[in-house]
Amino acid sequence: MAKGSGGARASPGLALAAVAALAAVLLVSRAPQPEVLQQLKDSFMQEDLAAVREFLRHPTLAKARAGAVEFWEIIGPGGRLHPGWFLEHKGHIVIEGLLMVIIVVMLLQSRFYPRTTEDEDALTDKEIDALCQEWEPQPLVPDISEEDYRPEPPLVQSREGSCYEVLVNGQPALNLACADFLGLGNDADVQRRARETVERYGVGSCGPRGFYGTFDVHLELEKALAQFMGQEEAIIYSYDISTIASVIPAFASRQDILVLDEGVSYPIQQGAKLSRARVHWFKHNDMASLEALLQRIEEDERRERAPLCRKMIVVEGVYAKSGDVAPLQQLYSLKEAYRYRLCVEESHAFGVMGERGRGACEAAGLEPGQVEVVVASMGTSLASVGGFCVGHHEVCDHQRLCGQGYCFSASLPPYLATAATEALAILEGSRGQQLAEQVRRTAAALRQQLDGTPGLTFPGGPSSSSSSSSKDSSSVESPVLHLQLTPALAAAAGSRKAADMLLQGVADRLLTKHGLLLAVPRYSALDHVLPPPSLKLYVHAGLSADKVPKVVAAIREAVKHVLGPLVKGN
Amino acid sequence: MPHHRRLPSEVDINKSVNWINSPGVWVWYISLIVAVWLLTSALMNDPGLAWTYVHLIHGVTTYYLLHWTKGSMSPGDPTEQGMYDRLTVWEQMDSQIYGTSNRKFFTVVPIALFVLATHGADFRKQPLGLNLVVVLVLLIAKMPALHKVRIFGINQY
Repeated sequence: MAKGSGGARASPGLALAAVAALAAVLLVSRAPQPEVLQQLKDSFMQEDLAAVREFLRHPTLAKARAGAVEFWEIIGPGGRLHPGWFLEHKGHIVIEGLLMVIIVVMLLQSRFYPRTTEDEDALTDKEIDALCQEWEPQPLVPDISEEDYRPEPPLVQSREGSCYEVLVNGQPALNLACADFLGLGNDADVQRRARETVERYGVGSCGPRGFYGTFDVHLELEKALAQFMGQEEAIIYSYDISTIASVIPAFASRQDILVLDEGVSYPIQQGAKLSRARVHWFKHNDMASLEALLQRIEEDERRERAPLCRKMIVVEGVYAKSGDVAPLQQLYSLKEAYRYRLCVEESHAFGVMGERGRGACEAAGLEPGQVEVVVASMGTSLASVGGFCVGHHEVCDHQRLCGQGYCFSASLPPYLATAATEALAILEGSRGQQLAEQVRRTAAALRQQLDGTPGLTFPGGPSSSSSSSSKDSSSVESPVLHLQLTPALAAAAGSRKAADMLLQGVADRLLTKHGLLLAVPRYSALDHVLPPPSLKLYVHAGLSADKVPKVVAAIREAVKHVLGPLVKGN
Repeated sequence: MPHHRRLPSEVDINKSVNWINSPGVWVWYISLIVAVWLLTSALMNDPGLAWTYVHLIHGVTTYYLLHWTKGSMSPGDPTEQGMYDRLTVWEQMDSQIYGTSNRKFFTVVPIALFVLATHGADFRKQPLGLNLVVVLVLLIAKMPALHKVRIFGINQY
């Protein structure tokens, strides 16, 4: 039986022993031998015996004894109210008749679900009939409502040279919506290595990791990743958004607790839903809200005397939906205090943040191993496809059988694994480190120069009002920049669609007039908390220091042109 | 009143209770009770009164095992993932359906034992009230009205 539940924590063995003892007492219920009694009497100290006798002569006790004796005279055998008369006159037939009636009624019952209190508002037959009458068939695919409709995104027709120079709708532009932060997708070495791998292994791996799909290049990449991150082991997945959606269910099940930041991206929300765990949300980057939540969970656990379960906090290093950085030092101290595990998703921080490019955990000063599970996508700085998870040997080994995306998907195509290995080697070398440093500086410079644009605000900026930004200066270095409308402007715009259309107008102007490609991010309707409408800009290696003033000027001009009238109107 | 719910699947995955549907379980149960009666009547030389003891021991044991212990018999097995942690074995039986033949059998057995106990020995020799209390408690605990009911919150978690 589930140990630790129920008031009596006795095991069945103990219960049976108690029953055996009871039976023994019943069977051996004879008065003790006279010699034993004499021995007991002699062993008592004479003073103790006198004290006991004195206690027994107490008047209240005597009254109680007299009352009990009187009670027994009435109820006990021979008394007026003893069931003896009932039994003498075959009264037992009544009881047995009653039991027979109960048995017959029970045997004639058919199977049914018992009615519990949750069934109180089950529908009656009449209500069900009425509902069926009113029902009208709906189309399988409903039409998109006006509110949800968005215009087609711009079509990138070709690359011109580097991945940052693209041809969009017939116009050359600098691609600022590209998440290849270090530009390693362009690198000649990476491409050469990938070509060589295709010539050697072909394109696909034709199997999951457990069934002839593991190649030496996969093992090589896992070793290189583990070594780079300073961890014991790494495990790679073949699709980046299913990485975190597989890792979370591997470490949380129906009985466990997950604590998620409200600003996490959709794959993390899906992972939490798939795990069937109890999910709790805390306000984005708000450590006070998190601590209150952790305390509340602890109190509930204590009150329910619930058995120990796994608890995990899941955050992102750099949030994809808002571009700011999680306060990882505070998170670490909280999770140590309340004994939770921490999972950090570093897709947009890996390769950029931190001294060696290990991610936001390194930037916050945490040592490798202090965060139990670190997950990242290889589609950003490593310019490949797929995702990885690093951690202790147990963390990764467990996922080889319990990571759904690992066991039940084909493994990463070998040429992408070698491309990632090559890109990782570059990232580790001096060129990669310089690029990462450059991206961080550019991000900070961009934020500083865009600060104060009328009509725009962004998280992580020097003047932003996020609760953690005062202590955490690394938010200014995050490569994801969301240019949000100020609250006043968003209110003036009205609906979310209107705000999105305004921002789309800014993006169109930036594309046509200034040759910059930015994106207005679109979110799923199932997303837990939608961020404010924004224009997304990725800071990458293609945005060299000399281009920054031009980009800033372009953004300011476009914003002034499109949003200016609205801003003045306020 | 029929409830508009899906019919349960034929296979009960609840490993704690699906063994009760194996063939021979009823015979095994009855032979267990008879074996305990043989043992007690050998120890006491009074077979009639032995039925009282069997009835009481059976009452206490089945109350603890069926109506007190909750949860899965294999807590490490991730198949149920804690679905049944708040349910006693009686409530988990037969996919939580009442009126099945298993349940009828397990309700009749304490009654039969009570009748045997009261008829086995002269009612002056046996603790008649205790027998009656035990059988009533067991009957009430098995009623469908008490499905998932915890009086005064005892044994809720």
